Parts: sequence; C-alpha cells; structure tokens
Amino acid sequence: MSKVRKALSKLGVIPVLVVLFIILSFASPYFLQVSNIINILHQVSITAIIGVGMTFVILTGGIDLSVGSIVALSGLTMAVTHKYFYAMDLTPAGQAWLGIVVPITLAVAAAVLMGAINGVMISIGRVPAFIMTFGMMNMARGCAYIISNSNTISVFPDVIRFIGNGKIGGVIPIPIVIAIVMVLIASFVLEYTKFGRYVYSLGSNREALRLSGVNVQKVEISVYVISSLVCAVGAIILIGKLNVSQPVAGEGYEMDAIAAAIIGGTSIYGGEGKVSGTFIGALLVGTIRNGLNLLNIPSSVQPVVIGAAIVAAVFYDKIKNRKGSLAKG
Amino acid sequence: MSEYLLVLKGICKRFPGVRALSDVSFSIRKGDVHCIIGENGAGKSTLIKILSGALAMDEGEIIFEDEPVQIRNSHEAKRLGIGTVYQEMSLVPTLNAVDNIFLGEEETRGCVLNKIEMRKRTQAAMKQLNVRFDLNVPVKHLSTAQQQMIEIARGLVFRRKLIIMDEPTSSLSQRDVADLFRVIKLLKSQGVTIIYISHKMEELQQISDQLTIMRDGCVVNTVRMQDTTIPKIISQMVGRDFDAARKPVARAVDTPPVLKVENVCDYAGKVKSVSFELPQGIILGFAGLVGAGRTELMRMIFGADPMKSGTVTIRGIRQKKLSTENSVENGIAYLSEDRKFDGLLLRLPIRQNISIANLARASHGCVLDKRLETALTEPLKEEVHIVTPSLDRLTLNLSGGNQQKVAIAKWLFTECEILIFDEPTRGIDVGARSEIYTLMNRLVDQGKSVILVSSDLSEILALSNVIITMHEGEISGMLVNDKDVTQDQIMQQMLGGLDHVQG
Repeated sequence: MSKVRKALSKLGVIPVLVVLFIILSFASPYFLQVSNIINILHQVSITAIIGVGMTFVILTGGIDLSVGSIVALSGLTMAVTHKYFYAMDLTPAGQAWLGIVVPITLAVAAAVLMGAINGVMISIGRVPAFIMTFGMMNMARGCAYIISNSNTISVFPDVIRFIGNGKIGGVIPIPIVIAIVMVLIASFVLEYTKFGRYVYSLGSNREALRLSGVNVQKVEISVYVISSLVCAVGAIILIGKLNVSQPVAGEGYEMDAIAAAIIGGTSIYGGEGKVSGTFIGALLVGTIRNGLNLLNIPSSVQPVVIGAAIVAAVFYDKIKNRKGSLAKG
Repeated sequence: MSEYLLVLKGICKRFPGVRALSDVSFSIRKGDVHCIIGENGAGKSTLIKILSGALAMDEGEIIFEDEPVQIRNSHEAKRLGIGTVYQEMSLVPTLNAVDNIFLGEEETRGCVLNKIEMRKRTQAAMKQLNVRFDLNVPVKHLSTAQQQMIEIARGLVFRRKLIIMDEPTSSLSQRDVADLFRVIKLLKSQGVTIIYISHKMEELQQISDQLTIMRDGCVVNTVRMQDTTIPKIISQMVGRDFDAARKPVARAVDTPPVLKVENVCDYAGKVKSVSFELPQGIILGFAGLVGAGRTELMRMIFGADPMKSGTVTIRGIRQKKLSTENSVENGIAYLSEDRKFDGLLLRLPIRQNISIANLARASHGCVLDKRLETALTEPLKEEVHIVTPSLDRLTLNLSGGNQQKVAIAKWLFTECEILIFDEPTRGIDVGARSEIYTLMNRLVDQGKSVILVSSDLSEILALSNVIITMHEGEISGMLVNDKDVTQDQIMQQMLGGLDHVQG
C-alpha cells in the first residue's frame, strides 16, 4: 500500500494528466489528433519556458511576479532597437545579421538587468520577494510603455518569425523544441551541479546554508537573473509567433508560470520540486484549456477550473508537509 | 482540602527517539515557590508544557485542588487557574499590554470589547505589582523585563492560582531580576503558588521554598530548601554524568596556537574585548551562564555575525575578512547551537546535508559526481555512527542525537582542522551524548583542535584540557583542567568571581 503511495507521489500530477487525456479523447474526436496535440504543446511552450525560471525562484522559497512585465519590456527592447536599425538603415550591406543580433542581445541584457535588480534588492536589501517583484512588475510594465511610446511595433525579420512559428520537418514547432531543451538543461543544472544543490538548500534552510560557508546572496541573485533570462527567450518566441510587440504583452504570464510550477509539485515553501514537474504542470493547464475549448465550454469557465487546480495542488502539498512534521522531535 | 495544590503521579512522555519524562511524581504545596531545577534536557520544559496544556502526556495523573483533571489545551489550563510565563515571550508584538493580557479572554459587552473595563483591571494589576509603563504602545517597543511583567500581570488579572515561570531570568539584567523576585514574593503573599524553573543556583537560595531536582526525565529528589545545600543539589543535578573518574585525556596544553583571538567586541555589547588562544590539539572548554556571550563570540570568529572590532589569526595568518565562506576555506567548522534553526537542511536527504559544506570535494568543476559523493559520505555514516537504513532518507525523520551526528559529519566532510562545538549535546539522550564525547576525543587525537561551548559543567569538566569561563561578555577566568579543578571553582568564575557569589 505504502509502495503504491510512494510511486504515486513520485509521479506527481502525471496520473491526472493521463486520466484527463483518456476522458478528453472519448469526449472529443479531435482531441487525440496529432495536430491538436502539437497545438497544445505549442500553446504551452512559453508558459513552460517561463515556468522553468519560476521553478528556480520558488525552490529557493521566493516568488517572481515580474516575469510577465519583463517579457513585455524585453520584447519591446528588441522591437524598438530593431525598428531603429531598420529605419536608420544602419546595417551595412552583407551584415544584415547585425540588425538581429544586436536587438536580441539588448533584449537579453534588459531582462538580466531587471532580474539582477530583483535579486540584489531581495538578497542584499532584504526586501521580501513578493514586494520587490510586485514593484518590478509595475516598473517593468511602465518602462515597456515608455520605450514603445505605448505603440505596437510590427514587422520583424524572418529569423524571429521562424523562432516563433517555424516547424522542424514541417511538423514540430520550434518553441516546443526550445522549451524541451531548456527543461533538460535546467533539470541537469538542478540535479547535477553545485549551484543546483545550493538552490534546494537555500529553500530548505537559508541560515544553515550560509553557516556551511556558501555565499547565499550569489545563489539568490542568480535565480532571479535566471527567471528574467528565460523571460527574454519567452519574449522572442512570443514576438515571433504574433509578429507584433506590444506593451500589454505577457500580462498574466506570472500566474501561468506559478500555476505550472505549483501544479507540477514545486513546494511553495521552497526546497522541493522539479523542472520536469513544471513542464507537466504547464501541459496540464494547456490540456485543460484545450479540452474546454474543444468541448465548447465558454472561455469564462477556464479560470475557474485552473484556479481550482492550483488550490488542489497546494492543498495536496500542505497535507504532505503536515505528514512530514508529525515526525519532528 | 489538602495542603497540596497540585499532585503529579507517574507522568510519562516520549518523543521519537527520546524518553522526555519517565514516571514523574511530586506534589506542590499551596503558597509555595516550588523550584524545578535540572540541566538542559532534564525534562523541565516538557513538564511545563504538559501542565500548561501545550503538550499531552502519554501516561500519568494530574490532581489539582484534590480533583483529578485533564489538561488538554491551554484553555483548560487557564480555566483551572494555571498561568504560564514562557521562556520565550508569547505576547503578540504588535498589540499593546492591555490587548495582550486579555487576548483570548476579552471582556465584552455583547459583541463589543469593553476596553474601559479591561484597561482598569490592567492598571489595577500593574499598580499591585508596582510597575509603570505605557499601556498604549505595542509591546514590541517594551523591554524584555517589561514584557515579562505583562505576562505576570495576566496571572494577577485572572486570579490564577498557579503561575509557572520557565527560566524567567535567562534574559534579564541584575536589576530586573531583583524586581522579578520582589514581584514573586508579592504574589506569594497573596496566596499564589509558583512553579519556578531554573538552573541557576544562586536564585534558589533567594526565593525557593521547596525544590524538585530532575535529571534525564526523572525526578531525583523533592526537598525543602532549608533541608539541603547547594553542593548537594549540584551533585544530584549532574548525577552519574558527573563522574569524578571521568577526566579529560591528558594532553600538552603548551602547543602553538592554531587560533588567536584578540580584543573582539560585537555590536550589541554582549562580547566585550575578548582575547584568547586555542593551542593545537586540545579541547578548549568555554563555560558560562546562558547569555554570557559565548555563542555570540563564536559566531563572530566563524564569520556568521559581523565583528565590531578585534582580530582573528588562524595558523599565524591574520584574517582580513571574516565570512563563513573564508572560515570554511580556512578549515574552521562551527557546529551551531540550534541545529534545527541554522544547522541542518531538514527537508533534504542526510547525504546532501553531509556534503553541502564542501561540494567541491564531490564534483568536477561545477558538475556533481554523485557516485563520488556516495563513496565519500558513506564512511562518515560509520565514523560518527548515524543510525539510519540509508543516507538517502530525509534528515527530518532522525532523532535529535542522530541529527546532531549528521551536523558533525557535515563538518568532518570539510576536512576542517578547527572545530567549534556550540552546545553539542543539548536535547540529546545520554547514549548519543557519550558517543559524541568519544568522537570529540578521537578528533583531537587525530590532531584537530576543538572549542567546546557548553552550559553543562560536567561536560566541560569531563572533556576540556583548558577551561575558559565567561561572565557578562568578558573572560572571567582560565585554568588548566587537572585533577584539582572542581565544579564549584568553575561555577564561581562563571558567576564573575568569588565576591560575587558571597555578596
């Protein structure tokens, strides 16, 4: 009995996903079609990518509410620079790549800067993560409006659009590939590097880690930088997908990313969780959305279901923690 | 009605891995100040928690005012008339004195708080206690002594018959202690019975009517204060642990120092210009009362807390920047006082706890080699004797003694040369305790140097080659621990010298 239980707890929400798949494949003839499955994967790839960074942050016991705004700011940094290059005709003949590389570099730099500010204020300034990233959510969003002059920017080079919409072998969308590669890298980092071990330890007991001679501030700043860095990746994919960049982009992404991490089994208290879980969590949210769409259930019902899923996941986590604390001495 | 207010019969309490109380029986007379004394881990706090309803006992009977009673929660304790002044303040920091006193027992008219009445009754109690301070400010702005008075006033407001005070003087200044004793006498004169928990000898003589001595979860003796003497109490308190035959391993104490500390002060004024040397290959004991500044000193040397002034020299090299990173790099280990708070990653596996302070040993560059980690940690399980089926189990589920061994294994994994053990056996049963003693001696035999901070005098005497005593942030004495040194000598130095005790 307890073995079954252990195995179940290892699988996390995978059984739920499987059950959902079975139900939906009976309920709708379109659900199990390859095109629909790929569609789901395509839909969730940005959530999964941002969720990867969010998982690092939550594992340390923190939270990052600013990811959605950083997606917008980072994306617009790229868009505005690209437009500038394009309008000024700055790229000399034969060096068109400059007009792509420079904007992308700046987009990443902008995101990293925001993450570093978050990290420094939280780790060294001891501002609570919730407050700092909540403030950053507003600041970054404001900056996005300022640099874009509240305008939508469109027309992007083919390369960018390919990142968002291209398909490998005409079947597998690039964003999915990027998401899976990032999940694999992040899993490796968390499981097989010193840094990964420190991330879990920081969430388990910050003071004990510090007294073990580890620079906890470095670790804490790093996770917020990672969280922002993946936002830049998300921003580029988003622009490629839509072929527009606008200051409202990424609104609510923080909620999707947090939902994916939490549903995927990452403990909100830190120290426990896996990036692969977050990927499954993102998939579950995407499948619920897709299923409700296919069944012609009004979109207003979606938030109700997804909200309930988050609460159920945390409730489960809470019960698990309560069981653990029974053994305390 | 009998002369006893409270009779305890055969009270037992177990925690996983520890027998906290076994067959505790004694009686408390009405109107007495009844002291319960014992070393750390003797079971005093557990007993208090049972009486105040914070913990349930496993077996036993409590008779209060000749009636057998059940104390299932703090509410039932209050209803019986039992109030508790906890060691750590249990006030709500953002509420004022009046709100705190009436918390959970508010005076109301209908649904509305009767603030005037509550205030009046608080003022009356404060007047009775003859203490004055602002009743309007949040209690977090008041001193520890004032906060304690609020807790005592609560007892008076609700006319508690029994007030339990759990080490009330542990964080009070001399003047506040005198004030507290005045209040205790005042309560006694009004017929309130008091249970007073302490391990400070000098306090007993001043206020105790009767006392119960506890050791390892058992009652050793209950006796009238006038029928006993302090040396008798001490020997009963430390008991068989205080074995005159148990003496430290003879070692040369004139070896070159591996650690030199000069004129160290902290920001809070708890450490005042401390200097000492740790000779290579000995155990240096630090004795002192709780609050003497020993932990603060050690944390500064290790780099865990900022140092206001002073220098630390390790193996002849004066340290420019003290940080935990540099200390671990320099081969210093600090086994913290509170392993749950800042020693262990409780929710992670044992193995990860052992390797965390020196992951470089188990990795190539940034990448961990888990097989190497397993190979390196497994021998430590045997060396410090961690009792567990596997090092991959969570640290959370180990007993206190085993958790402490994990914390020690963590530092052995760093291959450190200087180990600072801060209260290494607090809350640990006798068996694990002697294992830790053996381990410490073995480490020193291997050439390592150890600082032992302990409030347990028998422990200091049994292990240290040199003993330094601290009193109120200063070093009050240092002596080589040969066979002539007695517990009394150390105790006198801990209390700040001879004059202080006699005066």
